[in-house]
Amino acid sequence: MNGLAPRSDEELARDARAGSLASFDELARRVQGPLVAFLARRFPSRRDAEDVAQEALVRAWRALPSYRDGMRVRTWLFTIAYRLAVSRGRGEVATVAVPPALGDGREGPPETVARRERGERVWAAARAVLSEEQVSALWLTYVEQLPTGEVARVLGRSWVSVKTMLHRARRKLEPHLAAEVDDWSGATSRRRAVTQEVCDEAT
Amino acid sequence: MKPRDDDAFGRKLHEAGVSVTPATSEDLHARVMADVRREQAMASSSAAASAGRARWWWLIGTAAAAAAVAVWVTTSREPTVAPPTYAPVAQLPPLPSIEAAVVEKMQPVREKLHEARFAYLDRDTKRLARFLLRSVPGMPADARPVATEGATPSSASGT
Repeated sequence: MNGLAPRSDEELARDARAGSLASFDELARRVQGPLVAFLARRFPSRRDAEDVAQEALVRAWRALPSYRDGMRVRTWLFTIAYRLAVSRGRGEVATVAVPPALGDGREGPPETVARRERGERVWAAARAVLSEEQVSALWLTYVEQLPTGEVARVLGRSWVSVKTMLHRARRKLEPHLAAEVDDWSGATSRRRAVTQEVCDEAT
Repeated sequence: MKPRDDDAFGRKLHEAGVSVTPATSEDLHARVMADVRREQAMASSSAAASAGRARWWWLIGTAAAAAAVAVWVTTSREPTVAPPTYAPVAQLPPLPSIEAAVVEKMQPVREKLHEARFAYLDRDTKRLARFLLRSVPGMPADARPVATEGATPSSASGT
């Protein structure tokens, strides 16, 4: 980086709009992973998610002249990707099982693999019990950490409607993920250990 | 929206999402950039082609406009205007003069005003005569003229 601060997504988008292919290259490299992960919630096949992400990025390149200063680039890109995904129609029926195709080949240490599998289980459960729009709203809010107004812009909804959607989605999903969350926080494993100790003492 | 520290559910969703976010795929990136470069090349070539087309259209348009002007100038004639025809107007009867009518109407009034102009002199003369007659000794008191006794200033001044 030659001691220079990394440029923001917005700066890269402005440069790309001015015709800099290198800036778009950098921007595409940055947002590719998040876009694929977001689209994978709708398209369980990794190949499909990548195809839509590719098309979304090419469309973004085409639409760069319409990108306005002050607009959050990620919101803009996710809006393009979301609309493209919607126009592609509903993906395959989600299952709670971890889709094997979602692995990106990076095995890594067992801890990382286990975390990834838990993450897939969480989001597969979300897809199983929530609507696609609710899953998208949850993803954009909690994973991409977009403000509610930006999420509303991506989904083409009002702020109030997104707030309501998030509240309902959380209420619906929480019972399904309670055990998972406990497990993540280590509470379940501690409980199991205590139970085991009690059983051992009893015998 | 960043999950709050006490929002375990939101934090876990975030961690789950981050854990399933794949690393940048060089293969996908290469495909994207290949598409973008192709788009850029097509856009520049189509821009050049459209510029060429625009130049041709400009030339054709200019030539057509010039031809139209030339045809209009050569074929258009001055409009032929028919000479004016004068129609005789019938002699109108003479109108009565308004001034003469006014003078005629006002004449009696004018005469009356003229006559009444010195009416007060007549009245004063009569009073003077009456006074003189009364002041003559031996003149009977009823010697004054009857006609002038009941005369009012208005009637005296009238004629």
